[in-house]
Amino acid sequence: MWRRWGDYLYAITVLVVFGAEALALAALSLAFFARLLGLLPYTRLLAILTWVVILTCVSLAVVMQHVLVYYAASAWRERTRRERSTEWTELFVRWLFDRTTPVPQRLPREAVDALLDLRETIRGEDGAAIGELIERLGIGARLMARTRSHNFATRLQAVEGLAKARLPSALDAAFQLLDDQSAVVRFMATRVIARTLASLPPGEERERQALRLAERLRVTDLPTGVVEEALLLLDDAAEPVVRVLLQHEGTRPKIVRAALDAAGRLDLSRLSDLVARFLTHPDAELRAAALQCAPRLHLPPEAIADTITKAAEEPIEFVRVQATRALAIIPQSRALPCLWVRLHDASWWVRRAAAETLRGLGPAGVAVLRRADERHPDRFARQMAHHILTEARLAEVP
Amino acid sequence: MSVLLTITLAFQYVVLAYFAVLNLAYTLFGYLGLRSIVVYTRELSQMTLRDLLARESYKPVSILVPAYNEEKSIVASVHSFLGLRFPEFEVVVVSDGSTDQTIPKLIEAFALVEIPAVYCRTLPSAAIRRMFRSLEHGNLVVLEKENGGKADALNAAIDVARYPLICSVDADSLLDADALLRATRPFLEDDDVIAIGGTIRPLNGATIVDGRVTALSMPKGWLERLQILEYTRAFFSGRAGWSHFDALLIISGAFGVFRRSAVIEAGGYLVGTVGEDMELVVRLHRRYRELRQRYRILFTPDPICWTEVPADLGTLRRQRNRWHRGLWETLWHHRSLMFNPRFGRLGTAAFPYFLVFEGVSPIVEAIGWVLIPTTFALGIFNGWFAILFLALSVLYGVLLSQLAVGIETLLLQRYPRLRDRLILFAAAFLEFAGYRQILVLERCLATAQVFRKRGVWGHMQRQGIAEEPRDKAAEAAQ
Repeated sequence: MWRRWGDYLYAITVLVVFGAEALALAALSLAFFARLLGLLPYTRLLAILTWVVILTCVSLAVVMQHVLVYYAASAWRERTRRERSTEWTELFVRWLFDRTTPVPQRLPREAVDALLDLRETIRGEDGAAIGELIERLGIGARLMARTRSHNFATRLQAVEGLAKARLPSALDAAFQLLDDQSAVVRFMATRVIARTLASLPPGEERERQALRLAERLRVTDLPTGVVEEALLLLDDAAEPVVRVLLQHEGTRPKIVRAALDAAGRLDLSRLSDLVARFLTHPDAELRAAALQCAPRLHLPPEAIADTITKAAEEPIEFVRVQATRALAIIPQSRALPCLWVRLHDASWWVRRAAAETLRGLGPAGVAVLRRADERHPDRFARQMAHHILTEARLAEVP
Repeated sequence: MSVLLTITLAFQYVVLAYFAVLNLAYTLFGYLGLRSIVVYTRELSQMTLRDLLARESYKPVSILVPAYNEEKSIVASVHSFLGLRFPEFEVVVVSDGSTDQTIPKLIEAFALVEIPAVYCRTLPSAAIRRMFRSLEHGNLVVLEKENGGKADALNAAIDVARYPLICSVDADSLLDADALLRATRPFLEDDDVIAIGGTIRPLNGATIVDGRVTALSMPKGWLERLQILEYTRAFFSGRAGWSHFDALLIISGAFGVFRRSAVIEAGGYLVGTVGEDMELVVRLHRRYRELRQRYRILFTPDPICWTEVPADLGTLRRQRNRWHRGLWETLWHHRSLMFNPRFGRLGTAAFPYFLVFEGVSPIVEAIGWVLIPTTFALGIFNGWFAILFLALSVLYGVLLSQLAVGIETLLLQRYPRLRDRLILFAAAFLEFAGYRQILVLERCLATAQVFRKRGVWGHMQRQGIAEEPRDKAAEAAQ
């Protein structure tokens, strides 16, 4: 973890000092070269060298002094800020209890940070009350204004503040930041929107903003991980967004993959019909993603049994792995023979998935696994069954 | 005589120009490193990490720990890895034919039981003798294999690893609690990232409680203090600077996170080299550029790994000898990249830089030192000039060190006492009083031995990780 204070000043100091040094070294190199060609008298070269040495001494003194002063000042500042921050937190907590404790209209920086941290920690009604206080004190407006700063660091800090504050009034500003030149600001803005939507009560406004986000995400160039994180942060508000991403034909495949994964992780069972469509999608990665989230979405076992057993025989390894795991949700009468076959799959990962799935199927699955350990015709299947049974025994040791 | 004189003079100027260009490069990297840290501190906040944990939008990681005769530190290290703040990870320890008590100590400390060695063999490695699982920690796997070297042990660990990201660490290292969270974050934020290198800081002198570094203080020995300065300079300016140019060639073997699939596709770690960490990174660069695939290999300044640095000169010399041979081995192995524009900055900037300013630098520096008596013998020794130039090189070296020390001051976990700051300042001067010259000679020796001692590691004397009892540590903190 790094200090966020004084680094800019240090960067400027370094730039100035080393800029001067770079010029001096360049001049010295030229002087050496000129001397080599006999264009510069020796005494002049010596004089230049002496000046460069003096400059380096001064530079060293400046950097040293800066480091020592910063060291002392940062230690003092952190101590006092910690104390003040505690005092402000206590005041805000008092206000939360009685709502009458006077809160100054203009807050110093440590008070704003304390209030934002409190908003981050406290959820529910009290959290919403802090949100209103942030809004009333004009902190949100100031943060929004700072998101337009030319200074990158200021912009990022302001966006982070908005992500903590989760203010509905900041949504428009956050949507604008999705077009920012900096990828990091765009990531942060996505997080601001997702966090804010998650804190809104269900209703028309949340639905409207969610659809707005979905439209942006559908065509976004954000990395899959960031989109997925945003979808997970949306929590209860995720369903309409994921629905749009899965429904729309033009959604980029990597975004669909993130949406499928989010649907599984957030248990969005109401989207199971949409997810089921992807089980037979021509894109293998989307098929695998749908198969991966199928076990969590309670898809109708009978209806998808054929699709999953067929997928378990596909030539693409990662599809087979996911299909083998998804066999856990179809009726055991169909799953067990299929898993027996997959135990001697050419791929080690499919064999492992088959054995683990059998282990997770309860007594019937473990019985098949034991049988496989003893008398499966394939040596590798026997080895895998034995391995998983040993692991299962170890897991049961108290 | 006059020809000799001219050659000597010309060479003097070459050395001076070399010095000027090298220091300009250091300056540039120093500034870029600082700039990237300024941006990084704002990009990755605590809030981001909390979101990552709360929403479980992470990629699981396999931590690979190759160990050879690490009985002194292995238990503390594994405890530290198992205590990381990360939702889903496994620790794969590989005892690479250890002849000491590494395996018995692990069995005792973690209640290991033998299991059948069933794993997906995708990379070649020496035979695995036994495989263990822990009864106490479901995410700990230990392998005991025939000795095959560090790269071989890592390949075996990759075969056993289950997760999409792998993190290679040294067995005598400790990780910060959040190190994995921070190191894996870029893999989520950029689909093109295939490898991340973190910062390594010396462990010597630190207070360790429950496998975590809780307080820093300067070690007693100057040798260790000088290495603290060196590590600070190398990581906070050098690597950050190269990462800025997308031409990072080294991810330290002590701590690096990779996409498992990328490493397997590249053929795993190269066995028979002592610079397996650098070689893998160069091979990844090379492969992706040859295939014209988008990729990124980055350095991030925050995920911090603490490692024990040599406390005696013999071990330090052997270590530096090995590092330098590793550099040469990699440069030689991938010599077709040199000045090759097909490989972009890698071929036109990074590789030539490593050849001219890392590989050859000890030779140039040694010649510089030899020039002093030579010019004296030839009667062309200019006292003033020599003194001024020596002063300039020392002062500039100290200045570069202080730039890095200044960056270290920005860390929340920094050396807290004023005395430590002053020691670091003094160390920057003392470095030139013998320490640097000894290492220059060792690196020259390594250059001469590069083909003869190919793949030879040499014995490393370990002190071991000493943990403080909780109450004593609290007392010290007060």
